[in-house]
Amino acid sequence: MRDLTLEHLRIAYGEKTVLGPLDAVFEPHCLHVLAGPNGAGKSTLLRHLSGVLPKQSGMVRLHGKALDQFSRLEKAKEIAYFAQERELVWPLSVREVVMLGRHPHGTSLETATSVDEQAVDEAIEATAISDWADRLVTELSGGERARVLLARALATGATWLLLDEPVAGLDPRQQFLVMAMLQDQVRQGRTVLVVLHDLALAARFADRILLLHQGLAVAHGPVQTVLTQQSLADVFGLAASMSPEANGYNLQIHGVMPCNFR
Amino acid sequence: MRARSITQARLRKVVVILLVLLAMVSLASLLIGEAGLSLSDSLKGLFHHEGVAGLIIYEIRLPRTVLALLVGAVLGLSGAALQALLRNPLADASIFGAPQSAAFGAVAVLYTGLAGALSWALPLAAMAMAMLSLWLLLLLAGQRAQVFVLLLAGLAVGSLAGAATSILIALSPNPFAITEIVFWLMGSFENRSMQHVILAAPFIMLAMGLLLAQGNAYRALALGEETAVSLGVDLDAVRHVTLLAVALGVGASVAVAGAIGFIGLAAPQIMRRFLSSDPKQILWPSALTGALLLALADVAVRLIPAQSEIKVGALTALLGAPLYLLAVWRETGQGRQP
Repeated sequence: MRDLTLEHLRIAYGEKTVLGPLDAVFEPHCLHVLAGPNGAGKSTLLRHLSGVLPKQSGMVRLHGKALDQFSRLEKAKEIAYFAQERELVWPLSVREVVMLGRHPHGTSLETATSVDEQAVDEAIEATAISDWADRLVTELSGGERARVLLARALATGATWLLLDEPVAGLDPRQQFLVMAMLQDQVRQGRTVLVVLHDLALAARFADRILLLHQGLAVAHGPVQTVLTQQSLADVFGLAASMSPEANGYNLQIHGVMPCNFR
Repeated sequence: MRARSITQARLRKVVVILLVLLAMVSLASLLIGEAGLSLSDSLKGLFHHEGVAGLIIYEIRLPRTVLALLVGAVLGLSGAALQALLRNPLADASIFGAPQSAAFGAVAVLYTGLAGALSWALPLAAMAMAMLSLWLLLLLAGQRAQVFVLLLAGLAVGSLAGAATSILIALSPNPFAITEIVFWLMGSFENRSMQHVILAAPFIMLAMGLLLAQGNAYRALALGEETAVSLGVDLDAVRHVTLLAVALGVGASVAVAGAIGFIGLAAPQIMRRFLSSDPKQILWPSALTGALLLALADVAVRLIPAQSEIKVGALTALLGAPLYLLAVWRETGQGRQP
């Protein structure tokens, strides 16, 4: 029972249902990719799971226990969230920002224990940012900043990492680096739910893909069963195919479907 | 660890400097005044608590000094808290029209004969109006409003409250209407007594306690609201407590000293420049800086030769407004860091 289960989850903005009803099980120790076109409800799902958005109805269970039953801080210790908005207003040092990840443990800069320092050190090491630990976050490039925020999420010690487009706006090398870091975290026992727009990246790194379309799940499972020619055409309007290769799958886009394909 | 000890050392240094300056300004505030006591008489009065000099210092100058320090501290802290909450260095209660609204609240109970000048009704009404104006502002502009929208709405709220205040005073049967209007809208510590200190101090202390307790949440908010929530911050509670505390602090201050602007804007700006940008770390130092600035301004208005004493709020606005424009220019002209 170490998984995250959605039971008839429905999320609405006012009257308009934007997600669900959705049933899904996220197994632990996997890299789950949430894929789908804009407005499919991917970010909405992550924002609910991280406590930002309330749900309309349904149930989410984490490790068998209803998510509503967790206190704010308990939940924050289990689920870390890398938001789409990568806001860093004040010029704090990289290390100070990573230390903010210890907030759920009641820790602040002034009260950090050796446990906190160790968690921060490990997060900084895992994201390979130790060279800039004393720099100000406002002076970093987009890729560097994304890694600092990833380190911040890791420092919480949460086993569930929820990331909303962590590679958006990064160059290909940085995208690959961040995804490889996530894969590494999964090997170390964490579970990752990541929203990706780049299907090639998703095919390359995902253990499971949840394909969402207009708030509903189209498919959920291993890459080859989800990203089929049929689903790529139906959901994304792409004429594309997948071929297995050494480190995952290779996605080839041959063209787009005619504009009236639906 | 190393970086942390450096910032801690710098924090200590800045706080010590601020405390020394505060002691110096407070002493100056006790020794300077229109009574024209000589320095030796003033010192004698201060340390032996006797004679006319003692009376002047303890009955007139001490309450004035204590009030300036208290009001300055809570205004400086309020500014730091609002800037942390809204994550914008241009935020401040005075920019949002809260002091003017508080002045209207105080004037409304005072000049309609509902309460005397030393009644608890005065700070309560001022706090209620400050609260109302801040709520109204956030309600109209929305929780996620750009600060510039809040500024414009605040300008309207402030103007409205200021106009209502002056009309209300002018309509009352009051031979000193003009002076009174200037007092409420510009603020002053002239002729304050220990009664005024007693009236304002409890609310100011409460406000400061509430704001100082939000430090970790303000720091987490540096990552944005969604991330702060995911870290377990109760965003609604932080918002409500901050607004409540700012309304208490500003309302209580205005009830005894009138509307004084720009302290809450300047204090955190100065601390960010000389200390750090850490929203939690600058809370206390911003309070100390606010106290220092306002006490200093209150000494300055006694030294500037003028027919009648210049209102301290006029001086803070005179010095604060250009600083604000400079901050606006920095935020927009050069563009913020992406």
